[in-house]
Amino acid sequence: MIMQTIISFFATIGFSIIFNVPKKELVFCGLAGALGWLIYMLFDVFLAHATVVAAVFVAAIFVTVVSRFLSTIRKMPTTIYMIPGVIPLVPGAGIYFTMFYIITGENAQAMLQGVESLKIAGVIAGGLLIVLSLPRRWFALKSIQK
Amino acid sequence: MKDNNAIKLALLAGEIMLASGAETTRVEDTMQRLMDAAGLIDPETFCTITGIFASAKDKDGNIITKVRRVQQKDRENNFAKIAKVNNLSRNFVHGKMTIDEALQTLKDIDAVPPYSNLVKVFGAAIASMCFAYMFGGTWLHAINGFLSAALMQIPILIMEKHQVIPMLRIVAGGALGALFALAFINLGLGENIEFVVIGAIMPLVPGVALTNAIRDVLDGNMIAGSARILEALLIAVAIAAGVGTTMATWMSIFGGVFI
Repeated sequence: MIMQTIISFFATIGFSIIFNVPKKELVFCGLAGALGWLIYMLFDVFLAHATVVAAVFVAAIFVTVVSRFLSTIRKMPTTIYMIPGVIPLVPGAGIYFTMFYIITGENAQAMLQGVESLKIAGVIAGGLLIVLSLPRRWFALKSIQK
Repeated sequence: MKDNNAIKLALLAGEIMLASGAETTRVEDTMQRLMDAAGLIDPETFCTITGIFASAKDKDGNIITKVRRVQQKDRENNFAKIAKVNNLSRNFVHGKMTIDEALQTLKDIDAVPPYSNLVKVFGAAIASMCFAYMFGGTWLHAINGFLSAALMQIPILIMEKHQVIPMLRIVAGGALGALFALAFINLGLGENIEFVVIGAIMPLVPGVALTNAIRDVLDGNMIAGSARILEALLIAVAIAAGVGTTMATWMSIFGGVFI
């Protein structure tokens, strides 16, 4: 799991480069992505009854919280950390499997995977929404206390 | 003339941010602040993902209105630019620079080149490699992902240079990514096609469109938001179409099932 977290750190940095994130912020983007993936993994490993959707939801919330703190500490827009940070959670696998089952003619499976992908995209949205609608000063205050 | 420059400043700032992948609310907010700080009266802005409208009154009560169309070819995710314009707007609002200085700084920001293509290819390849591993592949899969993504990015960048429409680039990216992945697997790099293909298509997934769509819709920018949702959906379909074409063709020529 530690290996996975380290790997996700570099995956997020790779993504940040595609998005032209400033050089100094690359490490922090990686951090946001790695922490999000760690939370997702923890859910996956320790909570046998948790679904992928629930894990992604919590991870998305976590990534956004981290991004907002980073944004007040580093004085940069939240987006810079948030978008690369949630990328590991985006249902790339879901898109792939949906397409795969469509090609092989297993339409029921395709539907299943398609709906699952939509659900994951939906909960990422929900997670971002909840944290982004919190007042800005909560994040500002805590960074000063540190 | 001075007021004209103020609205020019706001439009340029808005254009840079919108083209770089900022959410609509941030663009409108920044423009409004800039125009306010420049001394215009009743500034109003409206922004969709394809264009910006700005209107205000100068001190004599004359109405100035300008429209700026943001072309699809100019749109490229560049978070560094968003951060810099954000910074500039903060400085300008706090009165640390004049309109002309701000205008010049904006032009400088716009001219800063993004990461070089080589670095971008490397970034995408690293990301794909890591994702292939994260989704449960072995190191062989990861190496395969690295090679597939790197090779896939080259034609995409060439197409970008010749201004091929984005959707076609993404279809081609998905198709080539899957093709290289399949080819390398047949050369012995890994066994499971899915890890590699998922890794290879990750650099194409509509992360920016999706997150910005959510933020726009939530902020009540329904037009921009629904346009972005459409964009995200189209990108997802384009990826699937690309990968699907390759896999269906491969299956019908060489046979075999991949899972």
